[in-house]
Amino acid sequence: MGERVNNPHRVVAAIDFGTHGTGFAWAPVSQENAGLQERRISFYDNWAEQKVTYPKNRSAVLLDADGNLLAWGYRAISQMDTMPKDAGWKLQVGFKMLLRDVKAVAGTGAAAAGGRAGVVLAADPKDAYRLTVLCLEQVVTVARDKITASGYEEQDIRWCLTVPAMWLPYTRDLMYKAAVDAGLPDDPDRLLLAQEPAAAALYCAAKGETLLSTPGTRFMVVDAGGGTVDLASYQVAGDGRLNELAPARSAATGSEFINVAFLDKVLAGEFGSATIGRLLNERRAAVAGTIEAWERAKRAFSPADPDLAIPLSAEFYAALIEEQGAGRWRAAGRPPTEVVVSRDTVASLFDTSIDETMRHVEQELAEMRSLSGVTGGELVLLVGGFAESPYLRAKFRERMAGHGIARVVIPEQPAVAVLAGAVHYAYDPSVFRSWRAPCTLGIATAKLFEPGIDPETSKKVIFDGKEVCVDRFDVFVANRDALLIDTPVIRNYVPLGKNQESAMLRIVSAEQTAPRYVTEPGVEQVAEVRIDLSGLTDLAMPKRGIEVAMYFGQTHVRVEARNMATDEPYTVQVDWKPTW
Amino acid sequence: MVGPLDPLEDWISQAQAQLDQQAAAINDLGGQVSELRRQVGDLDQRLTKLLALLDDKLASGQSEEGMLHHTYAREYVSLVEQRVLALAVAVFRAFPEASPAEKAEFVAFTCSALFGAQEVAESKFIDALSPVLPEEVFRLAREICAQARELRAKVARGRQQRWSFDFIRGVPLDPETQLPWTGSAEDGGVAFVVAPAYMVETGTLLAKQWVFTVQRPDVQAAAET
Repeated sequence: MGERVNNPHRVVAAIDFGTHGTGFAWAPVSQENAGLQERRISFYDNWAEQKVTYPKNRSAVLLDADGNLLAWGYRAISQMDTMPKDAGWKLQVGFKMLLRDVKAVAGTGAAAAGGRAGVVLAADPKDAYRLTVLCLEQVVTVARDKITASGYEEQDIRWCLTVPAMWLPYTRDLMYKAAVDAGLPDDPDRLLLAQEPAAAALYCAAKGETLLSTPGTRFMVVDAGGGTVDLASYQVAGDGRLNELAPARSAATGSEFINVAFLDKVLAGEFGSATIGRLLNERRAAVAGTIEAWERAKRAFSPADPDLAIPLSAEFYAALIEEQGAGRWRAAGRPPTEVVVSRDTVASLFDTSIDETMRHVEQELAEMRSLSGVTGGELVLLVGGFAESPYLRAKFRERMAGHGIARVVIPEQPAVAVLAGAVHYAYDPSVFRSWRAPCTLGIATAKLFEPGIDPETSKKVIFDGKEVCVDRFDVFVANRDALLIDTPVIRNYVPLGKNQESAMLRIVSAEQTAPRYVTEPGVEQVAEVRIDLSGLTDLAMPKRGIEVAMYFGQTHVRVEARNMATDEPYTVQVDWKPTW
Repeated sequence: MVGPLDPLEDWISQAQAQLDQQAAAINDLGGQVSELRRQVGDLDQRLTKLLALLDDKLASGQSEEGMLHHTYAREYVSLVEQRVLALAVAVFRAFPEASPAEKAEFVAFTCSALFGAQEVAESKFIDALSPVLPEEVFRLAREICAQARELRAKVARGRQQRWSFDFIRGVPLDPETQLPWTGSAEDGGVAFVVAPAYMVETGTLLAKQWVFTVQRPDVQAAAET
């Protein structure tokens, strides 16, 4: 009695922070909600200023010339249309994609002050962190208000934030820090990061896809969103939990790229590049309204459909009348109220994106098959907002069948798969059993000198007269090794000097799978911990040992060192450095 | 005879008795602590249940089933913007000089037939189409009616839904609830509803109403025609 069904929190909440949109959902922790398939999830779908209610707000912030926040989300976009020209304001979008390029966390100063004004589609990378914090702060505030409105205390909530599977530990850590800066708890048990494809897989399992908990099943998740198509693959372990199979990858072939092609090829082709350029500059909302109509038509387009008639927005039509009146757009008669796009043109716009996506899918599939040693019988889950497209579904199924994959699972609401799945993950994160090491990790240490192999410059004679090489990389896990979550890799060391009163452990990483020396190019120190050995110099050397355990958690990698004589523990969290 | 150790023995006996009492009290306290823990656990579980119930009743979140209406609303928008518009394009192919208002009126008539009554008014709609129009137009019209029936059957599940044709003639468009149909006069007054809003519960808007606006003096004229 009194135990809260495998979960010490009263409520779990997830934030799906996407390149295009951000949303949140939550679920109370209770016996009634314990079952994955019966769990009741609440979604928030009533954001301010959105054109119609939808589970995601826009990941966009409107800043003044000094970089102060004026508005965010849909409100930022609608407010932008009323902003005075040349006032230096900026609408910042797409910063999540740039987060992975941030080399140093920005300070707490104003975000993105100065620089180019207007709609900034690609934020300056150094601002990406601060913009992420700004945007998350707004989402967190709304989420916290909504969840606590029904009586929960803030400390009752366990949060989960979604991250792309292909993000390296440094970027994941950056996201964690951004979330903490945005007001979420700095507690790895109360703030989880979930891989987006793994969350989507959980959602599909919750929808009754039993194969996803059948041991041996190998599946790929294709998360087709606005900005990117993210791929990841997993194998169901004997205990029903998930092992990451092949490295995750991402393709910049999301649905937005088809919109850009529509603008460049169809609208510019119909009305001229100069007209479209002027409208984009002077009446952005007019073009945006027509792109939105295209976006809706595109999402509904299927291979059997006839030509598409895309209604021009009323503002676009009015702008054409103006252009015509001023003699800038020359056309006989009244402007059209719609633009008809042939089905072949629509198909070709899709196919360009699908071909590029398939190239990445094929690579992932080949690696899945190579790593598992089995070909055939794989399952593919297609999720994300773009997965609502009947054309994408049909073509994807057709192309996958060509690779011997008969089953492509598409949930009823693919657009909420990641968000809902992240709520399930926060409820029970133990579903994930292992992930692939993103790099080689180990300790800088000394090993017996091997003449003719080790460089003389690294040779050192230690207290017992033995010769050692002091620059050796002792590999704990090699790049792409399967890492069992919360199962440590343990090694023991002894000090090199007889009278040594402390030892500095340097934790190092490398891209290569079997680095021999820490002096090799690409080897980086990612953390260090000093162990106190004072007062132990009288002990025999083996009794002065240091035990080092490396843990690979759901969110962080941590290193625990223990002075074996005193049993004194030392813990350090790996502080990742950018690996690019 | 009292031996020299007797007082000490008495003192030990008393101390022993006190110790026994205290041990019993500690045991008792341990039992009370266990009982309190159990009660706190019970209360905690009841509180958790109560909070979950409160969340169910008070939170402004939407259930997954309720979220399906977002999909239906998108299907509705696509039906109007794609299928009905394609029908209008097919109908007006023979009349290239038709004005945007005339096209909008045709879309409005179609949407009224599809969503303006308890059921799709297919016969009324098909009968109203000119017999000189090509067969393709009639085929498309029948497909649209079938699609509208299918959609109406789906939206009848879950959240309470309605199609809103409500509007006030002549007033400026309300950007919170209405969108201008192509060809509308900027800053004009609403002349007629082109396609209804998709609303759930007591007024949550999932798809805005499309309206046709004309210059204010023209509103009355449009109403009279």
